[in-house]
Amino acid sequence: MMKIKLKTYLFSFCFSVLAFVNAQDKKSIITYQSSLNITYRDSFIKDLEKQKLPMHIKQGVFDIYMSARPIDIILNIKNNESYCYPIKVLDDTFGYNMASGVCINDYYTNATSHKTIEMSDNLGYILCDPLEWEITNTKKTIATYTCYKATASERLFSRKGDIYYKTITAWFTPKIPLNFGPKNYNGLPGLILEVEWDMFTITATKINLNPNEKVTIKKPNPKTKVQTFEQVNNYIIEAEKSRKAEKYGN
Amino acid sequence: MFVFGVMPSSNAKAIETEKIDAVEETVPCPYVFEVCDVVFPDDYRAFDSCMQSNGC
Repeated sequence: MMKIKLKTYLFSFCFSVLAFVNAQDKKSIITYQSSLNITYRDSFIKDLEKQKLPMHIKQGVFDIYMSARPIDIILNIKNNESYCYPIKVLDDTFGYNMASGVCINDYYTNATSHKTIEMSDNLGYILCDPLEWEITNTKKTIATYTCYKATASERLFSRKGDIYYKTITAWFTPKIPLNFGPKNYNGLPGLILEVEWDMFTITATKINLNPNEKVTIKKPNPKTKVQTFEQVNNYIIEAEKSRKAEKYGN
Repeated sequence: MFVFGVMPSSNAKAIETEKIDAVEETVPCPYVFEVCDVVFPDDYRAFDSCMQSNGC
């Protein structure tokens, strides 16, 4: 009788230890690099030459495009949560690195509640639209992983106050069963290793599925209000109006 | 002796002036607006980031 009890305790203990180890193991750090698409840049520069703009403005735009440098984006994953943030770099030409426009803010995702919150310094917390992915059979290899193509339409804040959409293409690998990706791109049956749209591409450059270092998940402050897309859009309309009227009216 | 005594101090002044000029030099906001406007005609977030990076 004692032996059976001891065995049961031992089994329970081992199970608890294993469960603890497993829980500890569910953390990853993925590094992405985002860069300006050269095809887009060249096409834009070609069109720019045809535009009727003052030469100094053309030069400024040209300088921004030509000096764009890739930036790194870090995705921390811990159990059912992720935290994504860009590595800030010092801007040089014109005080701005164009690739910074890819990922300006931090993002928190909870896979259980299927919610992603963008934590913007200027606009506050924004609840991101869930993306409706269309998964295809098209494959390609990224860093030895077979990835499948998925597309979605993303709703964005337009400067004109209206809403516009851009087509996003994501490449995910079912080999890494983590439903996360950079920024607000997540919800696919595998880790997203690449995201692309006309202007930029974000590609995984380092995949660390068992990091030794601490994986930090910066959660949104529960006291701060999370705004909807519509609320932020209304704010943007007003902000653009005042920006034009106050200082830089055309 | 006098010449050597004066020279370093005037050099130091020149360097100091250059430093102040470098700190105060900023791109004018109307110009920043026009450039960012062309670079990001649609995307508000990217446009705003372009403006704010230049303190506008």
